[in-house]
Amino acid sequence: MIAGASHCVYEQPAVRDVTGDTIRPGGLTLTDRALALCPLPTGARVLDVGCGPGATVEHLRAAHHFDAFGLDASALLLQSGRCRNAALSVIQAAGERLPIADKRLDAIFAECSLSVMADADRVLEEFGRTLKGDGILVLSDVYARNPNGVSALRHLPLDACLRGAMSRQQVADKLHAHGFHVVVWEDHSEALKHLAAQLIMACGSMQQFWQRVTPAGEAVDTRQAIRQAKPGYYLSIARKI
Amino acid sequence: MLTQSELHQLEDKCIQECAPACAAACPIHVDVRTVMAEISRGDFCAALKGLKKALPYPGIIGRICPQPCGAVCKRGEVGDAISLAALERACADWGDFTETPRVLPKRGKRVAIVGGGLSGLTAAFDLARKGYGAVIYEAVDCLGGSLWSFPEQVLPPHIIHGELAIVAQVGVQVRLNVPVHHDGLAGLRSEFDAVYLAIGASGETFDLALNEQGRIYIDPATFATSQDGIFAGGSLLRSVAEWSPIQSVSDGRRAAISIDRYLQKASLTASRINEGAYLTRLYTNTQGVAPLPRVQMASPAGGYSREEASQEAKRCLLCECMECVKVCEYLAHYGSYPKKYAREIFNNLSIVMGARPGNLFTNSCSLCGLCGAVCPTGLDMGAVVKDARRTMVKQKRMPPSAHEFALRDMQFSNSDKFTLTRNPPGAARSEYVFFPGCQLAGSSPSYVERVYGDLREKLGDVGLMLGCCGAPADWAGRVDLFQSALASWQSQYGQLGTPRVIVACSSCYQVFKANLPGVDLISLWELYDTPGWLDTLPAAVGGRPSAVSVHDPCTTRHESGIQDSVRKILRRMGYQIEELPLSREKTECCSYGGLMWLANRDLAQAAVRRRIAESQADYVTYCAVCRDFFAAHGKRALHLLDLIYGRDLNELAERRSPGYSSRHENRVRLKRKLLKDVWGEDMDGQSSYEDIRLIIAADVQERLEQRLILVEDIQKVIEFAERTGSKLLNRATGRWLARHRPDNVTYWVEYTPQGDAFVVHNAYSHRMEIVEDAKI
Amino acid sequence: MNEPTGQAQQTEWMCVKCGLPLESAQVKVAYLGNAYPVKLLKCPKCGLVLVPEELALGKMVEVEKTLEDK
Repeated sequence: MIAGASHCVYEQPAVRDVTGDTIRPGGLTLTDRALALCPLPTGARVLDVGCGPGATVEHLRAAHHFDAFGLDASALLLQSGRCRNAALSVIQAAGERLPIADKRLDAIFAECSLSVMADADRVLEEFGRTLKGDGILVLSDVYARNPNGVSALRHLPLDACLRGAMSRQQVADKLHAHGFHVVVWEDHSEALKHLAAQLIMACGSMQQFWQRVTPAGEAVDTRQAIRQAKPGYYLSIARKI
Repeated sequence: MLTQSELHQLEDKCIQECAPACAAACPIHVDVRTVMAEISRGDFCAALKGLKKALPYPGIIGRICPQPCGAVCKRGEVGDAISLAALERACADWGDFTETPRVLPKRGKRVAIVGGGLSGLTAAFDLARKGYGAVIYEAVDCLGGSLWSFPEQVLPPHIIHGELAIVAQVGVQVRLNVPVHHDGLAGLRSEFDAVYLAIGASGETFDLALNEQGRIYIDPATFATSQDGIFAGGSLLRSVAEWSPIQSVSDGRRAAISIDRYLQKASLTASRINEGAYLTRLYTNTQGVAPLPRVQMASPAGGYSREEASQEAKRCLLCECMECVKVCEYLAHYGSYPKKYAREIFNNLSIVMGARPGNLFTNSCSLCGLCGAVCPTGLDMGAVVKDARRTMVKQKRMPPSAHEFALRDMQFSNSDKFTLTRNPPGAARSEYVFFPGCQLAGSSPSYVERVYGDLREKLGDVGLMLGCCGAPADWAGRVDLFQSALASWQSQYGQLGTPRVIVACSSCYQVFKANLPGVDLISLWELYDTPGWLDTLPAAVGGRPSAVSVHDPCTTRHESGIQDSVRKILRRMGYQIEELPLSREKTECCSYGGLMWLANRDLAQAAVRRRIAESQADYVTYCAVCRDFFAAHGKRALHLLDLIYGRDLNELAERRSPGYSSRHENRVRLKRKLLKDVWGEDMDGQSSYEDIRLIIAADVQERLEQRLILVEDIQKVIEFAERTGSKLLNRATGRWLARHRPDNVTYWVEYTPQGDAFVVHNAYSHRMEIVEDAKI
Repeated sequence: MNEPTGQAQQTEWMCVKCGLPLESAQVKVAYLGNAYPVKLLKCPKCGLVLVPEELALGKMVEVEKTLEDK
């Protein structure tokens, strides 16, 4: 495995050591909460987009008995998952081009992954295409509670969910534009705070964390931009109209 | 918590965003301030662009505008009003901005404008940009109307033609040499969807209803005439003497708004307030601004040169209010102003789940009310903030560490260790009771004894109450703790037969005055001002300063009687007073107020440093904490009681503030001494931990103060460790390390025994708890 | 998870009550309902855990502030 030479934050040991294999605030707790709010039948065809090492896929299969599989663009993370479980149902693919036929899925989970994808509109279009009518999209992600701070985030020199964070209104508008009807929106920023605390405990301070994962010299500006955007975390469930 | 409507009322009170006087008085609301800033920078292109947002023909208006702005220009109070028209002309002369204005897509409706003067031109220009087909019917062979009546040197023809070209650029059609008389109006009205009459002072009235002056009647808000779809404006509304080019431009603009709404079948009257000229609510302080005369033109016919224009524009005061921000370190620190702050606070309170970045902001205000005293509309941010803190507490979202240390201090002052309620010895009731407050007792306990003795001598039956009035709880938004402190005080007070309460501390005074209206209060300082009193008291001997500056504690803001008494006492004692610029009603807070010192240490220090820099003279104040805070930052500061009872004022002015632990100790000792000396009683035994003797070096003491760790906290740890044996040994240093968690904080102490005492080497604390810690 | 720096060797610290050297152990520290794992020195018998000054004044204070929204 290659050590953290990339600036892809979610691949870095500094983060993974803390979050474990569900590389996001909230972990499987939020996944289960979504399913409690919008239950799916046994055997439902479920795709985890941005599945990483596949912990969620395993959980969806084992605990919920869904016909679940996952995809991720990161060969690194997929490999680490396969090392743990050779039979893991995951493939390498990008969210912008899902290798799935139209109207095949009962549900899509995109947890802390939409914000790291380059073209959110394209991805949502693909989600719309591959979901059956009435299928659900479970989105949990970072969002910027200060809409004015969004543009500063876009210029962050890191490949992390924070860079792609949108404001609540932007998320709602995009979902609406791609034929989704938002059924649930919940703020779970506590989870983000908890993750921040974990990173402090692991790295010594937030300052040191940012120094580890950003290019040299840019830690302070990164921190400022993030503070200004007032990041939070949300869980949203949308139904394909 | 504030409702949306209460928030709007609050936001409305802050006038910072109101237009400067010039822009408000300008009938077309040119953004003068921005344009002035751009001209001063020499950026005429940006200035011209900004000007053209409101004014399509700056080269014309710049030469002939009667400048209603001049009468209200604030610079006119300190020198000459800004020559705005000349500067507008300078923009047209030196700026380059030829972009065609944006035109909306065609809507299919058409409007006829009768008359090609300023009013008609402006209406046509605006309507064309809004996407309507605008056609001007002009009686003579060129546009401009009364513009041609100006002498050529004032308004050259080529300027008129050049500036009016913009009208054609946006697609307005012009029919020259087509006069329209009263018999032509009906036809025009049926051919077009609306008509605007801007014929100037010709006298033609088109069979429309007339007003008392015999001119076409219009609704003053909408410019609608008596006939549906026909509007009128411009100089036809006015006498020759009242004629104003800029007013005509404004009429045209406003009529265009009406016609636009008319054609869309929208309300003609909704939200049209301040469309024309109005008087702004903005207040701008010109005190201390050096007067400057108008910049002269080297060649008046040519107007201002670039350099001259720049100099003239620099005279603009760039009016804004910011009165409160100018005097407050807190308001200035966050880089904004109350209208925005109120919304920030409201938004922060509305966050139901997740992080609240506004918490520190809400906890950093000293609640001193200075902003309210200087604000032209009386907006008191302190009141808003205090209410917000109460809401945070109610919502269970107040960060525990913000105020806890101060609340524990208050709890200590209201515990058996300090509280005392006594009639004077031998008396069954008191005529007066002295309530010195917790801070004076903590800082200068010997003065409490002296004062009490002198009060008894002069007034007779004076009882004594020791305790805390509850101010810290009030400031922290803890209504529960505050109410219970007040209730407890009242019940103790009741035991004494409702005497007059002599209060030494102005915070106590403010708390009681606001919350216990039935209690008869008198300030200690008003008593000491009684004729004859001071003559019998000793005055300090050594080190009298020649002049002093009086710092009024912020809680005396509205108590001019107390402020007067203090000054009279000082003068009677022969002191010369140099008043601070911000004193009495405008006094600043030392940062004790609102627990600012605890919630935001850095900001508090900045506030103190600001205050102490305001005069070289020694400060005299009459609040123990103000005095101590100033002295802690190296300012020579004296308490009024120092001047009355002290000996060496030099020494007293430089006396360091006693630490937190010392304050506790002073209070306990004071109670014990008074009980013994005055009432002949012994105080109850100490807690076991108080027997622990400690040896603490100066540098360690300093560290403990910084970390808000009290001597009693350390005593508790060591007592616990020695009693239970639960402690660690560092074999390399031979020192013990023990910990104890009485409440919400775990204290660790590194110590070694020395004789019957313990040497304290270090101590630290944390709030996080070990889950699965030792079973002891 | 992370070795507390500043504590040179485990055998430097002894629990006086139990007479035993402290051993490295995985414990949890908690605040406002959130718990975090950390490796600290602990008495194997009575369970007394040593929180070093560096941890208390460093990470702990920052975590407390983050969780409190200060």
